[in-house]
Amino acid sequence: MHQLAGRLTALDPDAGEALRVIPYFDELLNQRAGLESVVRGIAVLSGAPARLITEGRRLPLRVLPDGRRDDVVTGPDDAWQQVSSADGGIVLCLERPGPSGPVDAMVLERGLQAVRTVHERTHGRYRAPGDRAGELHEVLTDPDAGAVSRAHAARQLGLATDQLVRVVCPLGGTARVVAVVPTMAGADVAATAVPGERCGVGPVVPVERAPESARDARLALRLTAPGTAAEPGSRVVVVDDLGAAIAIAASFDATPAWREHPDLAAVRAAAAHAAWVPGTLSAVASTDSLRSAAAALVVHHSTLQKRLATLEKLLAWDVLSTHGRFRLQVALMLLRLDDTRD
Amino acid sequence: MTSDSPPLPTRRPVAPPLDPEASAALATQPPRQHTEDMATFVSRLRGADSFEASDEELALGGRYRLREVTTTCPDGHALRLLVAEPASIDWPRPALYYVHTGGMVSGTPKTGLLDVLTMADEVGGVVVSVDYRLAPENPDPTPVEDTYAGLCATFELAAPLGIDPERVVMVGASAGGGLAAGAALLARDRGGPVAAALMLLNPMLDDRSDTFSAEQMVDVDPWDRDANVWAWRALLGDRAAGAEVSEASAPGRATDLAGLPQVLVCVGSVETFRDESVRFAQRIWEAGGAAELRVWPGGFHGYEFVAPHSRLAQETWAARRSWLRRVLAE
Repeated sequence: MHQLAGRLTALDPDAGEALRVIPYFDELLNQRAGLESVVRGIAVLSGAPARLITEGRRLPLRVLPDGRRDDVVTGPDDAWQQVSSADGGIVLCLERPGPSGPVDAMVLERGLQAVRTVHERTHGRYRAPGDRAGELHEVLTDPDAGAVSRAHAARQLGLATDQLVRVVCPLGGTARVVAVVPTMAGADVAATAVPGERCGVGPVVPVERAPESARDARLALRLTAPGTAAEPGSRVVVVDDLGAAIAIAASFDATPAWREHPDLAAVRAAAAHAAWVPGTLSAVASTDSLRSAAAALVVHHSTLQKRLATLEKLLAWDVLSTHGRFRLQVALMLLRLDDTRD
Repeated sequence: MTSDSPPLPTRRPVAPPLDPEASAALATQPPRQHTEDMATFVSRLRGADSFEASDEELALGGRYRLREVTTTCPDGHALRLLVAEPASIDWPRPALYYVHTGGMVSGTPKTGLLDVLTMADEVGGVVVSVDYRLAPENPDPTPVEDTYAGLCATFELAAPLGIDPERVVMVGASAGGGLAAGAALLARDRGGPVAAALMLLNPMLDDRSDTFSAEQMVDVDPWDRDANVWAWRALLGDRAAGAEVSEASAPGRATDLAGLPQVLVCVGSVETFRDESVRFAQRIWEAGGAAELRVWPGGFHGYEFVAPHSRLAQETWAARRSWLRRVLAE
C-alpha cells in the first residue's frame, strides 16, 4: 500500500535525478521545516553526511545519510565539498571529496538557500558574525530600546532573566554586559575588566536595568586616566568606589557652575607651568603623606617639598593640608569631567 | 427540498498539515494515478517496488537464519510460513507473528520484514511471517482464516522453534493490521491461542470507509478512500460496505473489544485510517482493556517507508521498539 509512493533514497546522478532536489527543498520550506530537516535533506539526497556550521553554534549540526543526527567535533576536511554564504556566517559541508557531481552541486545550492531562508525566519535578519554580539550588548544597554527587545538580547547573550550584571564601558569600544556574582568589597569586578583595559565599571544591577549601569559606567570612564607618568591616575574606575561622587559626575555637564569654578582654571594654569606639575598633583591627591607621594614620584622628599612650595604659589592654596588635599581632589575630578565633555 | 433528494455537497474538510520531511519526500515523486478498474488496481500494486530486502540483508549480519515451514489449512491448502530465527541458542525466545501489508491483494512474507526483524533483533525474538493467500483470487474469509491458521501453527511449533508461548506478539501492517486484528478476534472467540500483545501499524480495519478522516484525506493521503474502496472490494466483492461482513473480516465493525491482548495502535494524523484506528483503541479502553494509541503528527499512510530517514519515522520506530520491550518485559 505504501508501494503507491516510492521510497526516498539518495539520488542517482547518472540517472538524471538531480532535478528532484528542487521540489524536495521547495516543499520543506513550504511546510516551514527547521534547520535539522534541511541538513537531513542534504545528507539523504546526496548519500553523504552533511554538516552545517553557523556563528553561535558550538558543534556543527550534522546528519548522516540514513537520517540520524550525529553532531561531532572532528573535521572538517579541506577536501570536502563546501558552500558558504557571502559573509561566511553559514557554511554547509558535504563529507565527500569534490568535485561536485550534478546531484551534489544541486543539493548544496538548494540546501544553502533553504538554510538561509530558515535561519532568517528563526533568527531575524541575518547579520555578519562579528557585528552580532556587539549589537546585542548595544541593545541591552540602550535605555531607549524596549524591555522586550532588551530581554530578547539578554536571552541571546545567554543571560538568565534574574541575572545580576555590571556594564563595562571601555575607552573607544562598545559597552559590554558582564554577568557577575557580587561579592563584598566589589571583588567581582576583577572578573569584568580585561587586564590593561581603560574602562569605567558600572554598579551591579539586575539585567533588565543594564542601561542604568551603562550610564554610570560611562561616567566612571570619564574619570579614568591613561595612567602614564605624564598623565597619572587610574585606568579603571569602579562606580562602587566613587560613592556620592557619581552624583556630581552625573550632573556635571548640565551644571555650568561646576566647570566655571576658578579652581579648575588655576589647576590648568599650574599644569602648564612645568612638566612635573600634573604628576605631582596626582600623587599628592592620591596619597596620604609627603613620604608616600615622594615614593610614588620616585623623587627625594626634599625635591617634593620644593615643588609643593611652588604649587602653593601657583594655586594659592596648600595642597598638603587636609582641606587643601580635598579641594585638589575635587578640582582634579571636575577637570577630568570637563575634559571629557561632549 | 424533499427527503429523498441528495444532500447538498459540502466542501471537503481541510486535512491537517503534513510533516515537512515526509511531504518533501512525496513531492519528489510523480503524481498519483486514480484507479479505473480492479485489474489496474491489482497490477499496479503487484508491480510496484515493495522494497523487499535481500536474503543477505535479512540475515542481519549472520545473526538470523531464514527457513520455511508449512502448515495445512482446514481447506487443505499448504500455508507457508517464513521463519527468521536468531542464530543464538538462547531458548525459549519471544516471537513476532508478522502479517505483511499489500492492500489485501499484494505483498509477500518478505514485504516490510527487515523493519520487523530489526525490532525482533533487539529482543532476540523469532519472526514468523505468514504467506496468506491474496485477494481477489482468494476472497474473504480466506486471508483472515489463513492468518489465524498461521497463528495456531506458530503456537504448535513453539517447542521446535524455541518460542515461549507466553511471549508471542502479533504484528500487522496496513492490510496485515486488519488481518492480525481479525485473527485476534477469531482467537478470542474460538478459545485460543492467546497472544501476549497485538501491534497494529496503520491498520486497515473498516470496509465501510465512512469516517471523517476517510472523507478528509481524499487526494491527500497516498492511500486515500479511492484506493481503500478498491482494496475492500477485492476482498469482499459485492458484500463490501454491506450488511453481511463479519467482525473478524472487518475488525473496525466490532463494538465489543473485550478480551483482546494489549494493543498498540499506530496511525498518522493525515491518514484515511486515522479515525477507525482511534475508534478501535477507544473501544478497547471502554471494555477495560489495555491499549496504547500513537497518532503521528503529519504522517500519511506509509510515511515511515517513503521517508524512513525523517525525524518522524525515526521517532515512530523508536516508539514501536519501546512498546515491544515493555510488553515483553525486557
